[in-house]
Amino acid sequence: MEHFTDNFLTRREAFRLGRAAASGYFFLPLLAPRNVRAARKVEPRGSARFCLFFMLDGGQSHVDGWDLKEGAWTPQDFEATTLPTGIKWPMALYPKLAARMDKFTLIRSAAAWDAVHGRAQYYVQAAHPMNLALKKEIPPIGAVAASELEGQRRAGDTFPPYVAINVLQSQAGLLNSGFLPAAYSPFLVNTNTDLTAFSPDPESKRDLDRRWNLLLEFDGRLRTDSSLAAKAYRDFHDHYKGASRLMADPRSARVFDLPAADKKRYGNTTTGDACILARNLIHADAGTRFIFLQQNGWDHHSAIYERKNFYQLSWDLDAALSSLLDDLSATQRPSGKTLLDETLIFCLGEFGRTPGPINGLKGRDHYPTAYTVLTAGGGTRGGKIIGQTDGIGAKVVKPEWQGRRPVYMEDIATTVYSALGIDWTKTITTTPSGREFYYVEPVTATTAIASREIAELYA
Amino acid sequence: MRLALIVGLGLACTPVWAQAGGGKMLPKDHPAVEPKGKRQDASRLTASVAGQTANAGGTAERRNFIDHEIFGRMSRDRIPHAPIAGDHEYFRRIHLDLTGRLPSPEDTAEFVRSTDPQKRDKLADRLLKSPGFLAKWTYWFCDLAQVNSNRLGTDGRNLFYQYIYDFLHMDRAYDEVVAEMLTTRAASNYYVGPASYLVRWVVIGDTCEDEVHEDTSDEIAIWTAKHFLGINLQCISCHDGKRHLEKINTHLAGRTRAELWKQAAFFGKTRILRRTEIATTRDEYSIDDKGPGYNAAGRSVVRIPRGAKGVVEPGFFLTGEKPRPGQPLREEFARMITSHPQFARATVNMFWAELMGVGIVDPVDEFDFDNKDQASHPELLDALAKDFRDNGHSIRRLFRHIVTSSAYQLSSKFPGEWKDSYARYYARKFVRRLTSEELHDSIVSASGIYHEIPVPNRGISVRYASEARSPEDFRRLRDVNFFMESFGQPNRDYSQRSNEGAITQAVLLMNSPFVKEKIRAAPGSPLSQLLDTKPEVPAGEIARRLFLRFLVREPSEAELAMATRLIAAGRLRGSEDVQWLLVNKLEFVFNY
Repeated sequence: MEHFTDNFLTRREAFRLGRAAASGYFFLPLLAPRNVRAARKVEPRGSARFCLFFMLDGGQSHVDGWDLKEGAWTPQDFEATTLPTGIKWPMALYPKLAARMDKFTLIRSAAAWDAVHGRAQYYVQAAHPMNLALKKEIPPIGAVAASELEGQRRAGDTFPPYVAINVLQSQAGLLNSGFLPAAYSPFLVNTNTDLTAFSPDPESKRDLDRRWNLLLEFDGRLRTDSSLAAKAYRDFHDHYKGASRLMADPRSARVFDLPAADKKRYGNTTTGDACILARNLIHADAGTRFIFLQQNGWDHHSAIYERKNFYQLSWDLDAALSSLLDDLSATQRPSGKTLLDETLIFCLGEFGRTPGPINGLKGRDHYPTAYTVLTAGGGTRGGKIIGQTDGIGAKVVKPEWQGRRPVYMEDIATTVYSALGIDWTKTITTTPSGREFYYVEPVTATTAIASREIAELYA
Repeated sequence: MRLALIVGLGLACTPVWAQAGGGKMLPKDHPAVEPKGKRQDASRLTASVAGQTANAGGTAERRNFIDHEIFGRMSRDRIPHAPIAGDHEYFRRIHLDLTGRLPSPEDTAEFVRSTDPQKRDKLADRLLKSPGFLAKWTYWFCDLAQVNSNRLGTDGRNLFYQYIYDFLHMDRAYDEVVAEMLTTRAASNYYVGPASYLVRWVVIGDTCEDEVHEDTSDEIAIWTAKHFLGINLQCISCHDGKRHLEKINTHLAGRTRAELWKQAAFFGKTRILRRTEIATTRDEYSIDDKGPGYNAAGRSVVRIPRGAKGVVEPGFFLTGEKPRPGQPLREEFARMITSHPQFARATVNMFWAELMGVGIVDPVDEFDFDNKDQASHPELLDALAKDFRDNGHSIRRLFRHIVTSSAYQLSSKFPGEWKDSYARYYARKFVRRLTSEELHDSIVSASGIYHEIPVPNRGISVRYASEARSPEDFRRLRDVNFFMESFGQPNRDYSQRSNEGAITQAVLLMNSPFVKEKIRAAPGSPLSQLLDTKPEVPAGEIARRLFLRFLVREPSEAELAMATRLIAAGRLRGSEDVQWLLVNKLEFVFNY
């Protein structure tokens, strides 16, 4: 007896409209990219196994933090101190990072292309300009990396390759895998939810196992029907199988467990928790290779120097990032390298904030022309500053890298791909729109850009 | 046990309900009418007869002009179609489509039992006036208009929500409502509801406070064209169509950026100003028409520079018509847009797509006026548009036409071999995954265990996701919020709604606190009441009722046997297991 919900197709598969398909395209979920071409011969560095983006959503003020420019506006209690290295540092805001300068590099000659949140946040995830015609299909850096690293996935890897943590409330939203298969979309976790959903305790596990086996029997026909008509069900069942493997993996209990002592050390914030989770994912090395985590709240248009604004966010960031650097550098891999050596970290906002005097609302507004990006790990040297801005932080005056111009997201993407061993000159022509997709975009909205790896990070 | 499962190939009796009222009636001895209960050979196509399209899946009554077009075309091209959906399939589907939530098992049983030949039409009428309908479609409009607190302020959002709700409730003429939204002036969108429609599109510059004037006008031109004319002006808002759009939209390939500016220029005098003198964090805006006009030299923060100079005179994109001298620009724009035939066509197409799965023109905002083959049923589109225009632009009437047609009521189950080419004929119901809101509402209504979703600044709470004013209302409900996001709920900003599957979704259906709570036999829950009923309800009957609650159908023999066995082995645990199994049954998350 046939089940009456057999024999249907999803709208996507059923519908082809011929010519109009150019704009009415649908993505076939499990199609691997074809026609991947490399433009020129390059030698990716391959120095990192993992990549982590620590997004400072809203745009962190660079002139109050990592490119400190003092003036009449600077609060007295910033404790602006000249460190032995000669660098001026707001000790009241980032004391922990100050003690770990050997572990990170500041790129003070960074710049953004966009000054509005949505577009600029999009740029950090995708390293492509937000083109509304192509937005649906452009995959973010993490998805491209996941796709490229698929070949290195081992039989025992149960964790998704691209994980996003606490990407909430941003205007851009979390980008999915675009035209790449859905398996490379970011796996979203929010640390303010009950993480035991992902790693059931032993008793729940027994219950789940029992129910899972019942389910395979109860729903067996739909899940195993191999006809084209049942494809939608089958695809969804694939996610069930993935979920089941993840939850059954003994490592997931450790990954999703955030010990109280760690939470305290990382600052007792959702950002701190996100960093602990990231650390656990890297430590487990169970399939995840790219992590995008986010700290919200940096959009300080008003009252920037109020305790709850720039100060609090900076303290939270300081505690979380420092602890993460500590823990990653304390763990050695069999190769002798530490986890920090193997993880390339970028900590950045979508743009900086207006330099000089604060505005009429006692805050700072969006400022893309110059800002600061923090980099750590992945084989980079640490303890350096690349680039200089002018007296108030308004312009890049010394890029101090081979590009000889401000560092943009395209350069960061190049650096990421290179570190992960990915040929960043690749393009894919079989996109739904037919437009060639470049791993690293050669053209912004208005400018041709010959992006480069920021090799100075490793020197 | 009564098994009302629809059996495979070619159950071919003309449904009892279709034999009275509505479309044509055939005498019982007509060759196209199969006697009840006789199975028809699936491979034999009966000849087309007047008023009927017969095929392997059974006959379908032509009930209105929609059916004449849809089945007429199938007849002409000898395309087989699915049978009419059985009562259970239909009942679940129309509830989800019109109200976004599942029917109660009592309503389901009563409907299936009823022998009223007009029961489906009566159901449609009832649902179209129900609170569920108003909630779901208000939510849908707010999705369309991208209404959220982040951009409009909580008060602005709430008030706009109320405005839409009221217009649907009163079935106001859609063209009037659109004109109203396009021409509203207000000192604050916090106290003038319709103002929020335009306010939403303001482009704010670096200070998060300054209106970027021409960019804002461009955005309004783009979004109004998308919503009300079904055309996508995004591309030519940056560059001419030539050498860009030839493969995408033949008509727009011949249009220019300057023409987009002329459309935007209708809003050249419109200013949307943020009222930061009240509070710096409020997204409160005024909207008036004291602006300087659309200047092509104006700066842009979201597009490549315009590279032109001078004030642009308004010209309607579809006709070139200029505003009449002395008339306010926005009123002229509203007049032109709502009186153009494309307005009705785009609108009916948009709702057709929602209910039928795919637009007659698809995607619904990509009309190509130079592509004669674009519409799958051009005469139907025109007929729907004409009916809409001639009858007060009534949304309710449009919905009624669609859901009472046989075309809407076809099963998703297709006997025989499906071919891709059949899709264009609407030869079966297209399956879609439930939205995150529908999934949430299905879980809470099936389990009968609700929770509160507070609506900020209104002092009320709601129970259904579809009653929320925007996705932000879920933010504080952490696990529920995560559930919603994982199933693709958008932020009504740059992120789009997604129906992609993901591992997280499966994890959450199996093991999230949200689902685990709902499948428990908590004290006072329907399951717990069922288990406590005296005299004791037999295991098999419990199983049956759970199927009705969660899947809106009867179990098959095998399903019933398994579920009964589980419940008989341990009533409490077994029932909870069955509830869990039903939520995780793949069909639960699809609308078929």
